Amino acid sequence: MRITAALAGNQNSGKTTLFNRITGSRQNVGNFPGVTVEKKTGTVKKLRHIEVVDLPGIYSLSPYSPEEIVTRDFLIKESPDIIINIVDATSLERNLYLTLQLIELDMPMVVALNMIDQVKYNNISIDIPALSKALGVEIIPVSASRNIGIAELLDRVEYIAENRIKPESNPYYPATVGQAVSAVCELPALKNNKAVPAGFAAVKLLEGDEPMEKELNLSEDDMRELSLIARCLEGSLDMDREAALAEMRYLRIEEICRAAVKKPDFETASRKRSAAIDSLLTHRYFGIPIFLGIMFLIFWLTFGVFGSTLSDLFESGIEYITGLCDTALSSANVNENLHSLIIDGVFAGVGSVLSFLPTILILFLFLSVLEGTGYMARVAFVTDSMLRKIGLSGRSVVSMLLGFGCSVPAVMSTRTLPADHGKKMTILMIPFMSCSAKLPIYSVFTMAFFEKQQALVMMALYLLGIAVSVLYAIILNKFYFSGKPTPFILELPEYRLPTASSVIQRMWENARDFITRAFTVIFLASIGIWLLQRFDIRLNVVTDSTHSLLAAIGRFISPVFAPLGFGDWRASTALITGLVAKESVVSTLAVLYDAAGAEFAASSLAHMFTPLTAFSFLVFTLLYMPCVAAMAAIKREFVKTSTALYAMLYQTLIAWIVSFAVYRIGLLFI
Amino acid sequence: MVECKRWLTISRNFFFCLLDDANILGCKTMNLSNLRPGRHGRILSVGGHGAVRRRLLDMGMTPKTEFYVRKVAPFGDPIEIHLRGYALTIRREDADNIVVAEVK
Repeated sequence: MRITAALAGNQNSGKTTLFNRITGSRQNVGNFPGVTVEKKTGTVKKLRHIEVVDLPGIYSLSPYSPEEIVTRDFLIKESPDIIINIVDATSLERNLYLTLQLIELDMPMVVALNMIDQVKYNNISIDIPALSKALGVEIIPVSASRNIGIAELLDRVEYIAENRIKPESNPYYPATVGQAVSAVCELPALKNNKAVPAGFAAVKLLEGDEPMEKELNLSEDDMRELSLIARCLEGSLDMDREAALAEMRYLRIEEICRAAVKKPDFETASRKRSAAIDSLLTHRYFGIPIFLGIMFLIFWLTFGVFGSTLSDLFESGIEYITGLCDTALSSANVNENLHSLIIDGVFAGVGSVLSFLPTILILFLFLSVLEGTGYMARVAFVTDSMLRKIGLSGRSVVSMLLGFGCSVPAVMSTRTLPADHGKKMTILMIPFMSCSAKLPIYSVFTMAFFEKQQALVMMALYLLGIAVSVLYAIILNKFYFSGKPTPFILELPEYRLPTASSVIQRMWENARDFITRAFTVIFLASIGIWLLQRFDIRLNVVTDSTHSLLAAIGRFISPVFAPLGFGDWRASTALITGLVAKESVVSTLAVLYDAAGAEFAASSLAHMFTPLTAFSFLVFTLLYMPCVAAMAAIKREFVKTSTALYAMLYQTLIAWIVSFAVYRIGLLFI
Repeated sequence: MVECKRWLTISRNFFFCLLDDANILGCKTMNLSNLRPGRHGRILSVGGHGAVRRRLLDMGMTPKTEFYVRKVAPFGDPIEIHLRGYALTIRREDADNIVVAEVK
């Protein structure tokens, strides 16, 4: 029998670690249909007939966040054979809140009581049989990070799913709520429905859950009856229905925990340890400097000595392979065009993008350490007040800072953000952060035109990027996302040492994702650009690069840039090649000017640009649409291609407007 | 209207607080945002509406829950509170809607 198991649990409960532990590397990463919530599936090691679906980390089955809605829909509509509810044993009270709601679904279920190794350390004792009896579900103590109890868990999963053992119902509702629930169960719409478990539906309706009302197609009579029951309940409990049901669940949990759990009166040992670390890391004055210091260190290691050595090594590896292929193709007398396609098109294009790979790996190494330890939540805590003013929450700050390194990992890192408009805004803002690939362009131009003010001009560009992104965010917030603030109610998990395997898994996932894109989208884009460079309008092979199709397109669109001061066709052609990788802007200019090296910078640029038009060109380069690798990453996160295309279009439009303003205002002073 | 409702809740909570056996006349009701770091409190009611309110309730900020304020972030916002054995951070504007009684 094939078994589908749904893995559900709170954030920070070790869900991903457990998922990685039981599925190993046999994972598929995708999205739930139509939303930006990630869906991971995998088959169990050695038990290939069990498929596990990793649901998003949630605290409740309320209908408010996309993550919660996706989870509900998946559980109700796809009805998996079993729910594996992972529960953090060191923070039982809050974790059991979701458990109680999952039990209401009346599906086969097992609780994996995770971090059981931490329980002893913290002087907590849990009477597992008593807890299991009170909840009516089987509980298996496990430690996903230490590999304890996993085999037994899988054993029970198989058994419970095959025998379809549902939770023993032991209704805990106080009399008033119990009566209300059974009254709601009597509604005709509920009696006739087969799709949703009645008990779950009744409780949700009683909570005032709108998606459930729609799902069940409540008639007007039903609605009237329902609101009557709810008002009755509210009257007798002297509390509104949402609060009443939340309180009821927590009262039940307190009761269960009093009987089955013994723990230190005030704070556990690991809580105290976390608080001690926090007294420095989230310090009122030192918190932000420490965060900036950590980010600086990460950047220094990724783009400085350590990372650049690795990148260079990797690049020379690619060059070596390219060279091998080149000689092989030459000696085999392959058609000249095909030869060029493979070497100049595919190898050059995909190779230049693949050379980002070491950077991405290193960044994600650090990122997964930051996330795994629990520091990321502190970053959000420390920086939230600054980001709130532009309609974001502190959770976006790390992704945005990564944008200064490379937009690709920055966009990929937003995957861990909640799927609300804050995530979309973050992705839209990232490309304005000047990425490291634009640095060579700045340095060539500033050397040629602003030798004395080099640092000043560079700084102005970085600051301009930030200013434009902030302005963009404010405008988006006002007109597009209608000013709703991104909610920010975040758990600060205890500090933990992430396991090496989880860090490596995360790195590998992102690397695989990136490599897949390098060989699909970027592969095609490279071939496209090669075709344009290789042939002229009559599809003859060009001998002089100034006659290629690309140059023709450059000439065709160059009038668009004339109002910005750089109507030279070579500039617009360079901008097009910049779409493959930003560094190409400089090399294309060099090729088109038919000069090379340092000489090129000093002498030839001066023929094409004045200092003012050069600055205008730099501003446009800073702001216009990102490279294909970043576009592909953005497309993946936005799900819909059209949204991503619009984003690119707007971004280029903004670049045009800002450059235009810079140029025109500059003209006034010169 | 909303303001009126809020005042109603606050005054009602004050009344209930007076009746509360543990705090006869000894307690002060206030918004959570006014509770200084290091102070302990007990939740009386959670105001506001929609997603934010529901999330607060779901995270265990239900009436009668005891908690304490650990610290405030740089720039005084958000705040970190401990309840039900874990740490939670909420914004001051959301804490404004939570009526609490200080527990000595």
